[in-house]
Amino acid sequence: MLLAKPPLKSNAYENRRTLSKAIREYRTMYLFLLPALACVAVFAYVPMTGIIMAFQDYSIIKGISGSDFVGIKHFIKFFTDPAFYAALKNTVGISLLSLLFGFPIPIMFAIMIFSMRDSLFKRITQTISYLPHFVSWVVVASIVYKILDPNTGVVNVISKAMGGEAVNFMRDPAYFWGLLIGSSIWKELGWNSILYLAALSAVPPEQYESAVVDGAGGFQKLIFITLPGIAPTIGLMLIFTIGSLFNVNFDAVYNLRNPLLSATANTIDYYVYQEGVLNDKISFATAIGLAQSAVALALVTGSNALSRKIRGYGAF
Amino acid sequence: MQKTETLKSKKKSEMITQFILGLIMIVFAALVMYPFLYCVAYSLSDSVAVSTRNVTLLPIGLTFENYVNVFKKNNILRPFMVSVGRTCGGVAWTLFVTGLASYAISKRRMPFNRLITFLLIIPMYVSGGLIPTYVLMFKIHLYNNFLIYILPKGFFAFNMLLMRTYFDTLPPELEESARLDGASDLVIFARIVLPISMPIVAVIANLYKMMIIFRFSAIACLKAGMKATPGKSRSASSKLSTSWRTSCINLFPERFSPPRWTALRLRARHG
Repeated sequence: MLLAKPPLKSNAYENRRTLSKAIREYRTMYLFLLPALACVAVFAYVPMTGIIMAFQDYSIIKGISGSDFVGIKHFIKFFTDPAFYAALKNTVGISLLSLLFGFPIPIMFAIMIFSMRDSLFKRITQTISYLPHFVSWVVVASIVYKILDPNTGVVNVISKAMGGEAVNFMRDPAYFWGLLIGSSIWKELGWNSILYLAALSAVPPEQYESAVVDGAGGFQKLIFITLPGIAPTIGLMLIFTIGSLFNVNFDAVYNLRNPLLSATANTIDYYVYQEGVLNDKISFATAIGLAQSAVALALVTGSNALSRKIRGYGAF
Repeated sequence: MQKTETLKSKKKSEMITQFILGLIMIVFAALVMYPFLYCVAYSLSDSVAVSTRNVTLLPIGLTFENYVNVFKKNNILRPFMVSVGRTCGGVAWTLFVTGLASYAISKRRMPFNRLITFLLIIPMYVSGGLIPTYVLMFKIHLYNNFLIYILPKGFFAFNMLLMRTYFDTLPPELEESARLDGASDLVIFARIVLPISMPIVAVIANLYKMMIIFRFSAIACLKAGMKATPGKSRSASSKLSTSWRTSCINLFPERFSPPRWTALRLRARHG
């Protein structure tokens, strides 16, 4: 057994030496990181200088260097705008509901697919489930509009045939959240389950075999082997879903909404688009975007720290 | 005797489970497929018949005229090939960049690991916005260049984290024994880690399509000949108000609808 060495003259010197030694040991790894760092530096960090615009009265003619600084004027403005709070309410409402419904469903679907025996049937259902992912939101929205049409849509034709009354889904704001979340689940369910399927196939089969020997039933296998086996993937996905609590897929909202639905369909992203692109208040939109990013970053860092504390590891 | 009895009942309950699963899946597949069949039926229907009667499952007044028109009038082949080239090139580039980075990040002992990971993750949440991005693309001559479809999208932190999560599950003995045999890091990565990581490589290659952010290509609105299919189908849909034509162009798989960036683009060009 080694005895504890007496402390050297300079601890900092020693630390620096072990650090430089470790860096040299991992020099190939730093080389591996180089393309990614270069990509991020050029395509993400260089444009980030645009954040300055949030504190300016940006004018396209003067450019960033020539525009006047106005401090936090834009932040005060949107924090006192009732339209912003309406958008905030819609965004958080939609996000929480889709966390509640949209998050667990792909996991359940992946487990169901995974426990199917017939491999041909399994592959066919899997492939079919990916299909909607490849359809753009423009098309999904036009399908939704067509199917829900009060006169010719299938849903209303059937409900009328059964003696019900036709509902005009796309004119009543009450249905928008449900429609958005429902069509998002329809579109991305199969796709989101791919990740969990990859994680499921990494669970060692011996664990299942020994569980069967110990007399575990299907449900017990699910609770004690399957779910713990994919817990790291679920945790990672949860951290990022929580991080995007203040974002709702802009493409979905943009295509599904119409002016009649604005009470429930105006999300923060749509508000930014409306102010920045349609009303040309670029600095104002950048300020909201910046606040949104800051909150998202705080949420992700927070949930990551929580995950490190509870489970001992996190995304970063 | 009792054992065979329980085995039998187990087999029976297993069969019931499989049957129920199969039933759920058939209902699910029907729900997913119906809107597609509806689209196909709609695009194959006669445009006059569609306006008076309801298409449910089968086309009314079967005609291929709409498809013929798409290929004749909209010159769809070239944008389609641009889509294909962009996807192939992009997948290769993203796998190169992300694969190497996530292997490096999976080495938890590496100094500054967490700092680097954090720096790579920040852009997931913070971005400079449209105008600086546009100006940058213009300055580094990616504007009106096919490479704009590929280079900027080489790296997504999310993909890196997924790959790292996979690399974490690989047994460390594999690498250690190779290192004892004198293999270098590069050889270990290319010969040992990569071949057993094909499942995650396939996932990343698939995810790449999901990550393509249309806005980049929208702001870079290229020469007419270089547009990819979604831009094309969008311009077709604005030109032709009848939805049946767009509905058959849109059977080409693509994502994202570009909002009206054109006004902004024109202004940004002078900024």
